[in-house]
Amino acid sequence: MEGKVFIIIPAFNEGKKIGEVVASIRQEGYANLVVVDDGSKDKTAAVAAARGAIVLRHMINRGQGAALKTGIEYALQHGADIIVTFDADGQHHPQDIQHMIAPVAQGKIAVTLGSRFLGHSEVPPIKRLILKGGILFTRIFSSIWLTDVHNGFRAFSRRAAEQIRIKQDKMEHASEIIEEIVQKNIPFQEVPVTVTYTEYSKQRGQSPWNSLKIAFNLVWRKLTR
Amino acid sequence: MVTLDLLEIVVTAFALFALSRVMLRMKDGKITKKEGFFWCAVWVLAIVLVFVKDYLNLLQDFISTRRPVDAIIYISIILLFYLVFRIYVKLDQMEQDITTIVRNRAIQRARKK
Ligand SMILES: Nc1nc2c(ncn2[C@@H]2O[C@H](COP(=O)(O)OP(=O)(O)O)[C@@H](O)[C@H]2O)c(=O)[nH]1
Ligand SMILES: [Mg+2]
Repeated sequence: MEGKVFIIIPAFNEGKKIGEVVASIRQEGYANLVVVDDGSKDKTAAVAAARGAIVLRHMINRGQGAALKTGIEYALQHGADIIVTFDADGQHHPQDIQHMIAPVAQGKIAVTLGSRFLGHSEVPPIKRLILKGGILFTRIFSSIWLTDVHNGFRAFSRRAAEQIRIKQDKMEHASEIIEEIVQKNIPFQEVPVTVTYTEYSKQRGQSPWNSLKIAFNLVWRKLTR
Repeated sequence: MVTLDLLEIVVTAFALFALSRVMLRMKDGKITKKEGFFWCAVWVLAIVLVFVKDYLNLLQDFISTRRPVDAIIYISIILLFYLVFRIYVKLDQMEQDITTIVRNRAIQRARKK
């Protein structure tokens, strides 16, 4: 038994892709899709709603971490048993959702983290370098070796979703989630997933400069918050 | 015998005031313990330095009336640090509050439909 599954999709100006993404997930048989439109300037909200997603709308942009938390809170209020987070830019594959959910549904594991390096993903060289840097950073920061740390594809049991506190509004939440898992001893597992790099996603993804900024913010907030 | 000149009294009073602020912030959870300890340490150190300054030539140069301009600059920098820190804490808090408002509104609107 899987229970009630919610798919949370944070989206910022993804009007061109979101329709396709929502439709493809529904095709896999998932009915509870929550798109959190984070103050997009384009038609993201309208397109997602037209394809049958529940749309939560941030009036102004608050960042991916904030959007995820909004979606998770909503899902918990509506009786979610399992919560999956999924990117809006078409980089993730809906067919992988079942593999992400399975270990959690069995109840032994509370969180699954998608890993593009365990799966068959062709990652562009520069992105690969940055991601590997992120992995090393996580080793130092949270004392844990993972194969992929900045992947938006995750699945949480209800209890894990309630336990993990996301305080970082922006991209820093990815490291925060891992830290929470480590600190609270939440049983997790990495699951191979495919991440596809298209021209579209490459143009819009996080830049190397931004990645450095994220790392800096993390250290700074750790010292001051 | 400890004798205090005006400058020492001012520095001590300010440090005590700052210390009380830091503790208040810590109590109501606006800053973390780590942060709180850091700032407590800074201000306690300031007070200690005022009282042992006679033994510290370096500090004497700064706080003695021989070079009042240096002392003023020195204090100004500390004051600026403190103000920037306060602004930082406030801004961070404000950002979080805004997010909460935006979030609650988003969830409420979805429920009405
Ligand atoms: N809610 C929200 N989502 C965002 C924001 N920036 C990016 N995203 C979403 O987060 C996902 C991944 O972002 P992306 O920039 O592609 O990261 P990358 O794939 O790791 O380079 C996509 O679904 C984006 O739509 C933001 O400011 N707010
Ligand atoms: Mg992307």
